[in-house]
Amino acid sequence: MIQEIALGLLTSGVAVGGASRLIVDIAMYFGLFVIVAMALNFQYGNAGIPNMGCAVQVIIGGFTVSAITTRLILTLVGNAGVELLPWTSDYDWVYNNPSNVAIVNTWLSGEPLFGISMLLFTLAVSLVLGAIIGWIIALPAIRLRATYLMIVLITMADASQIFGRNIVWISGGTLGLFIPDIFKWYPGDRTIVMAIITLLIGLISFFIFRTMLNSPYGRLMRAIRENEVTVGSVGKNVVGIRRNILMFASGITAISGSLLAFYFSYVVEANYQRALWTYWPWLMLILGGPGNNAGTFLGCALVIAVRRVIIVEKWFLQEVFFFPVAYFEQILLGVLLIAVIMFRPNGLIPEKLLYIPGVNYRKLVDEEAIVDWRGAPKARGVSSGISGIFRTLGGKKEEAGD
Amino acid sequence: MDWDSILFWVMIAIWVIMPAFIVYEEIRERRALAESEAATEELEVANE
Repeated sequence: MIQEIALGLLTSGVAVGGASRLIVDIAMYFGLFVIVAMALNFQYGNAGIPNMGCAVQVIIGGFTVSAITTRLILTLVGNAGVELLPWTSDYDWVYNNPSNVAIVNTWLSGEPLFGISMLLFTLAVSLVLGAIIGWIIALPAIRLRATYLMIVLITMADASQIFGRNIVWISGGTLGLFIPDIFKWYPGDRTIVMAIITLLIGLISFFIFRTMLNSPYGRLMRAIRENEVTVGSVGKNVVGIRRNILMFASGITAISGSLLAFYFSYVVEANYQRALWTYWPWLMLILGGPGNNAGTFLGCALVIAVRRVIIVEKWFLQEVFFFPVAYFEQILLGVLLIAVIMFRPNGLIPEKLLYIPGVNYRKLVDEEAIVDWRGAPKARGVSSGISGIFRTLGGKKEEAGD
Repeated sequence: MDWDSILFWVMIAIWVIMPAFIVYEEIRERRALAESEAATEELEVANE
């Protein structure tokens, strides 16, 4: 009885259309931008790396879906005995793509496990490729000072789009590529499933970033942000740590690109523009307050809600404004950025002092600290390096980073 | 069964839980920070 009532309440009056459609859309974009903005907060807010190349990392996620996952699906489905049109040459890859995807989708409608495994495979590959691209963009750029680093990363974001536009086998060039619908087996609207998965990944990445920021590694990052010369002078490998932060955040950011590709079931380089995937996350970060996850969330929520409403309700808004509403988004971006920097430079929720959970301050002040340096581990290579990140995520404490 | 509606409410629930948890964490940390600052100030006053 109770189950029936609960089911009735859940299923009453909500069909995915109209206002609900807008809510799903906002939720999806909120999840995507939360991932990107939190990764940016991890890099800039906590480590002081001004990453103006978020779009590179996001586009890698999209390209993973179009260039690797789609090929893998076509190969596996072809091996399963399904008759496909030729797709190996560049011409066939683009022009036979809609027909092949339609054939594959028919086959996928009866293969839920295959669809889920392809999603997991894509997320794993985009994580790895994102980290690799983070390492590659760090090679020439990481030793540069903030302003030059920003310029180099902006150009890399544009370069990645140019690669996608001109190399057909990656994402179909300017025409783009349709992606097999891995949720074809789901009887309803697959975008809700994608929104749930995206929000869950956003929540998981929040926990990962929170754990890292509250760890000795997080304190080391903040120390680098405040004064990297001092950190370097005590034996920390500042360049190595910054590179690892960039790699880790790049991997997480790339996941959002893959999720966007599955949401649209389509990949084209124009979907991964620098303005959308670099400047808007920066606005969210600056609006909410850098160095602060709650601020990043608030910034995301505000900006995404306003943006999606502008996009969806543009016909209504056009009657209100005297200028073309198409420019309103860009105007909003600029005006908000200037207003925040002028009136609230620390954001809506300013960064708080560092709180270390579990540390008894009273005891710390009361007792005389006795430090035995003989037992201390070597300074270099303890908290820097990939092993330091995994050790931190594994919950193991290290003393040298404190 | 109307799975769309059920998943829609699941999505809303996750969407509400996320910021609620983050706000809870933020308030908890700020309170702990304020307490520790107050304790330090008390100690400084006592030492003087």
